[in-house]
Amino acid sequence: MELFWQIFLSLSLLLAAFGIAWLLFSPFAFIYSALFSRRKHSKMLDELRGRIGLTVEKFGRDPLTNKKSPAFGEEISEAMYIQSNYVLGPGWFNQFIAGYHSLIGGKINSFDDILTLARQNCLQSLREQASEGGYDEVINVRLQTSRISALTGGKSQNKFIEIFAYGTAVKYS
Amino acid sequence: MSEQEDISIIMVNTEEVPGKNITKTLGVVSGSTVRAKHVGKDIFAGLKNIVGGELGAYTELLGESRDEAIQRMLQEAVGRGANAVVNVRMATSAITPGASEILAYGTAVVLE
Repeated sequence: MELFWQIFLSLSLLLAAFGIAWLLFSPFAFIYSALFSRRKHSKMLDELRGRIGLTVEKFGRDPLTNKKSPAFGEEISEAMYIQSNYVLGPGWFNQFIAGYHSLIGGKINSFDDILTLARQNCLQSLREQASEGGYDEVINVRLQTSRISALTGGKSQNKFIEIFAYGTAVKYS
Repeated sequence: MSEQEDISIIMVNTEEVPGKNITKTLGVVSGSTVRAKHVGKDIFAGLKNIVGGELGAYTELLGESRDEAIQRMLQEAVGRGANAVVNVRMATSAITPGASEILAYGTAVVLE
């Protein structure tokens, strides 16, 4: 019985220590997020645009279309389903700004950036899969956005966004 | 599920399979899966979300569950005697905090 209480006490002390550490740490984390997240995301976006440019150059045009048949009515010899997804954490500062804007309304530029980043990443992954498999075009591309949440905490600070893209990669005959 | 052999029959998300005629349709087939990540990964993802960016663990999780949902759909199609699934659509819904459901559905068909 003595041992049980010792373990119980030490575990609760540990939890309390974590709680206090988190309380001290989170304001700094928020400031860090405010200072660096925008810069980090625009850097990622620049890098991604470079990659998109390379693949488009390789194909000679953008291989993605959401038409149901190839752009110029080419005959198809082979078709395969491809998909890609991207789970996005918007970042604390973006979440805070979005909450603030829901009071006064208006455009949220930083949120725009990060959603563009996620969508372009998904579409780029489709392009890359098509070019790796030797396909000529991706038809019937569809995009989907959904919200997923982590189980941590009742404050529900962690709301993640999932972007999902799928389509049919085709080879011309 | 993972121990079973992967089924690979023709699957497209267009209305017909190019270059092949559909001789019979066998109705709508669907497959779904509900998944959650363990707490450790949740906490790690929460820390990564301070600055924001891609959460690799979740991307992987949802990618795997989509593959599984598709496999279940294909199993149903094969059970009905189909050799292709056309017009495949995917849907995602957050049913409860920490878990989401992935649904794949399409039309099972017999190609000549």
